[in-house]
Amino acid sequence: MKHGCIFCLILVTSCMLFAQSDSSAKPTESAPKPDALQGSPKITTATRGVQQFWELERNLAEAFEKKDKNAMGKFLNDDFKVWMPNQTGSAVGREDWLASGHENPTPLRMVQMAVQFYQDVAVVKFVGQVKVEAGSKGSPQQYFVVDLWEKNDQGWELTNRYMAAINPIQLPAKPNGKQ
Amino acid sequence: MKLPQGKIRFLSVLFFLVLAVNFMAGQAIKRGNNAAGDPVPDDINHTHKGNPNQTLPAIAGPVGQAVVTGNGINYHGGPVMKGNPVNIYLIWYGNWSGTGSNTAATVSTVEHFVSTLGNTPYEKINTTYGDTTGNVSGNLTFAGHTFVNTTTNLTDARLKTTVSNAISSGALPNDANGVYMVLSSSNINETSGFCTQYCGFHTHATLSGTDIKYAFVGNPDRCQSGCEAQTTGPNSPAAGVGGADGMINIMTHESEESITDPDLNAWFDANGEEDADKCNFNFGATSTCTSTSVCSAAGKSAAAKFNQSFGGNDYLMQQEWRNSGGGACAQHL
Repeated sequence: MKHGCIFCLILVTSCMLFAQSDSSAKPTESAPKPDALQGSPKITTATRGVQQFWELERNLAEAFEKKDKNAMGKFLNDDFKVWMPNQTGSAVGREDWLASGHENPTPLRMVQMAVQFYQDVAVVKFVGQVKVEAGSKGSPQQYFVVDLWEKNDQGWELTNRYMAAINPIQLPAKPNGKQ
Repeated sequence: MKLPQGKIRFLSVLFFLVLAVNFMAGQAIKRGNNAAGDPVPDDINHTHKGNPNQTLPAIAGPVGQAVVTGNGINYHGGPVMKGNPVNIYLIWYGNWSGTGSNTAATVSTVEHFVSTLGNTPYEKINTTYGDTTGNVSGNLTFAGHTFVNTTTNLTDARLKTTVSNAISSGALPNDANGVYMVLSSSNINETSGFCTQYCGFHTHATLSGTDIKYAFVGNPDRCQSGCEAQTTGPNSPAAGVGGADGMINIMTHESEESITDPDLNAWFDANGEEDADKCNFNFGATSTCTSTSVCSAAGKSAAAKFNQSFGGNDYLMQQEWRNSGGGACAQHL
């Protein structure tokens, strides 16, 4: 009897310990693959271009979130257009975009930014994620964004935004700065 | 059947011990999970840039305080590199017998820089970082180099293989206390985003059974506007040949972070920015090369900027986040 009770206790304990260790060892679904050909986990030093346009894009996104049309207007060229996949293939013009709400989302969290300069034109690409509302469920929508900025006497103006919703990609569990 | 009192007491104590062990095991597993990282914020605030052009009074380093927090950068449980010195190994990749800044002169300038950086007031900023067993020493040394003569572009995978081959071939030692820096000539691209996304990066991997810390720094003459603060630096051999000085600045960044966050789980802030990220391309107060400076002739002619002087040379190096006194970008401790 005594040996039976002890055996049962050990068995139960072993099962409980095994269950806990097994759940903790389960890899996250989206853990990056260290041996991937590109995009291995690494901490990058952003280029000057990424530094510069990160701030510009961030300021633009914040102005949009605050519905500050004056602030937004400072970043946008008079002929600014947003191109997104739709039935007609038409772009959304500056005034409509400034007046819009959630129909024309502006991603706030930016990752994977790259900047290429062609004289007075900068091509800025990034993956953007809209802000997650408190209490919302599900994955926030992500967009692949390519922005064309032109330099003039006043600085940089956004002339065209090309934006498409994408299937969610796993963003780094630990943010990697401006990566 | 009714058990005797003694047996009941024995079983009760045994049962209690089993539950206690199970509970403690569960707590250990939970601590391990929490060390993996902070929660991801919904949006990233990148406005934290420190104080450019601020001259800071010298502040004594921490004494016996391995982990000091509350200075704008957070500790996440991982190790720092505490070697005294930390060994820096250089892998010169590409064609370093070429023209422009792809020359033996650049190799000499860079290796002299690494040889004299250890224990400088700048490097001592790193001593404000530590882990649970001690602090970074602030000392590093140039411990060896090898050359890989090739025209093949780099990828992340090829970079890792390059480091692995250097170790497995015996060209460089297998050193857990080392940082291996792959320095590519300007005709070489790193196709995962050099010049468009980044100027360099650092990471780590298990190679030959050792946790090897390594970094990539490309010759920024490949993209001067993206990765150089000035096209003619204080050590430039000619006007517009700023690769050596540009590399030195980026190498500073990568070495600081390889030492304070070698396994990507030690020191970084809520935005994921490590100590050098927080001061990227932030140089603080600078001086100008003049006829009385130790700058090169080209540097003097171009009035190149510098903010550090040691080992008989002037350099323009980004500031680093000082983990003390509230935290700030600093040129020295």
